[in-house]
Amino acid sequence: MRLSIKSKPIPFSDQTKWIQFLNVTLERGGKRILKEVSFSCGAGKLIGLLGVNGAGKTSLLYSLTGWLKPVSGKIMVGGIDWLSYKDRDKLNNISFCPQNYNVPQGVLVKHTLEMGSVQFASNWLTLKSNPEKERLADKLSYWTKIFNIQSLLNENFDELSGGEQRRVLLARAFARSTDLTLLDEPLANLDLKGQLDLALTLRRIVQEDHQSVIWTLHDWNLAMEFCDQIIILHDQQCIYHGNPEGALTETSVHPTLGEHWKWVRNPCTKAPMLAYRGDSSSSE
Amino acid sequence: MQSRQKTGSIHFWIILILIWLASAWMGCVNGPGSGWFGSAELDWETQWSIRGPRVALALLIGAHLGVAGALLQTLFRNPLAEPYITGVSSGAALGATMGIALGVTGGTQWGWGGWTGMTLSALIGAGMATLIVVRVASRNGALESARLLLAGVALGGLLQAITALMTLQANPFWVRGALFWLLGSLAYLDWTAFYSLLPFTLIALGLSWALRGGLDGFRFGEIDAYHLGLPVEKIKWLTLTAACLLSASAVAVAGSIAFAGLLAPHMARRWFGSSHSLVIPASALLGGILLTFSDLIARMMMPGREIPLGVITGFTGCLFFLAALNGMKKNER
Repeated sequence: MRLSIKSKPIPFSDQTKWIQFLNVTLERGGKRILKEVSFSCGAGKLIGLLGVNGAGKTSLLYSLTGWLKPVSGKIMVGGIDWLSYKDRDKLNNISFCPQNYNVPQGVLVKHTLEMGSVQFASNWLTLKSNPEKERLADKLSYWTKIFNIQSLLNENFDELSGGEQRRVLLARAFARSTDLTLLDEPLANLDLKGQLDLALTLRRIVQEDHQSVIWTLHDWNLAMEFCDQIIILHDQQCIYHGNPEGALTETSVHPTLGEHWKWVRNPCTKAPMLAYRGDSSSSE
Repeated sequence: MQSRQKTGSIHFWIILILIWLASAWMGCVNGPGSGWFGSAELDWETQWSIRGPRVALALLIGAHLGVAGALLQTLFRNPLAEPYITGVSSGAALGATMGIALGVTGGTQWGWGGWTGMTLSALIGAGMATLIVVRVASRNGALESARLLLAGVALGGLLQAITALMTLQANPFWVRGALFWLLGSLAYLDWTAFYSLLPFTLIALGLSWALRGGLDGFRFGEIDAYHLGLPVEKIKWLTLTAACLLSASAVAVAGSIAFAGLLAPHMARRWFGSSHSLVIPASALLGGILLTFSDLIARMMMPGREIPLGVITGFTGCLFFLAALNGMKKNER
């Protein structure tokens, strides 16, 4: 079920290498962010993008949406050359939930949600409302329930708490029902309960709706627990891509997080996890 | 919150329209026997020929500046943006004075062609100032709203200094001295000015109205607008074009009136929410009424003498500016 009239959908060719980065170099404001990065990830997966602040996680997401054009290299999505797609064709297939956004005054939550369903095929000058209005209403009520924001619809967006704002923007992104959804640090501003709830929700969305979600986060343990695939960026390079099972090694943890960590198994779920190993390491 | 936007709106409009009617009715005519409601010795027709174009132009120019303020505030995501603060008005004033010095107005007592020539040269000045400010304020392809204000204020100061120097140097400027260009005034205007402004009003307000949907998509920021699939570059440049048209044509007629476009969009947003299909017409009406009222004060405060309009709007606008700045401080985390 698609809401937007797609000018060029992504073909599903190779499921395991749905998104491929081949020697991609990214620069932002004249500064090198990523240097000849290559990795691939599959369709219908929850993909966690890890890395310290400034490692280039957001830039990598921008290169998929077209906001940032790679200096060199190739990005393939669904077996086609992604960079040759027009921006609006890319954005017909990708939703993006920003980490930082301007908070406008006096915009109601329900109007914020409707912004997500801008029809690219329609006239941008008037943002003509959706021809399938009823289906849009169904979609929105579905996603407002998933993110538990039904009671906020008539509130002003700027008067919500940080966590509530985040949930509204997430619902807006998912209501566009694109094949690929990119979330830039969706856990920021959330308390511990909110973080776990969101991770569980994302897990369910990916499993039930067969959507692909790439999210950036800083909680490695949540990533190991819930993601199908992990990508770790460090020092302009992709130092790991693959399943969470093999993600925690000396080569991936020590350069990024320091040497105070030990990797163990979660006693309940058996998923790999990081544990602080105390301050004794300095003597060894 | 819906209710806040609706309550009192009818009373409010009645009060505003009464203020506007009073402003149109009251005022002094320089001359013998002048009083609060005009001169007893001059007949109504003579007085209307002086005040008629003046109140009509106040409404039009106020609408120009109010809508320009609304466009710039949304585009730059800064509640303090406005044609004067962003340097656009100062660019227009310099363009217009250069136009006069180069003779595009065809002499001192210009007619319709003279007005249009001056408006076009103001438009060039405003466009150049906008390009410079946008260039300085851009980083990594996106506009930074804090840099924009600093760049605008600095460039505005420079352009005003050049304008002052030009008007003090030569004298093809008729009554339009440095004081007029730097502070603005609606005195000595006739219906020719009104009719030469009207086409620009229609084109620029039409363009702004057409952009309302795109501007709604800009409310969460430029990057967010891009990711909603909006053609951000197109919307950005069309909005800047509309803002330049609005402020340049207003400046050509009335000089650069400081802070006149600041208040109206804020009032509009407060009462009607932030959807631009309401904000744009409301900013136009409120801007017009506010400027008419400011012009009334300019006429009445010292009977028999004109106070430049920019003094009045600068006074109220600066107080509001400081209050808004204080409010922004509280919201910062």
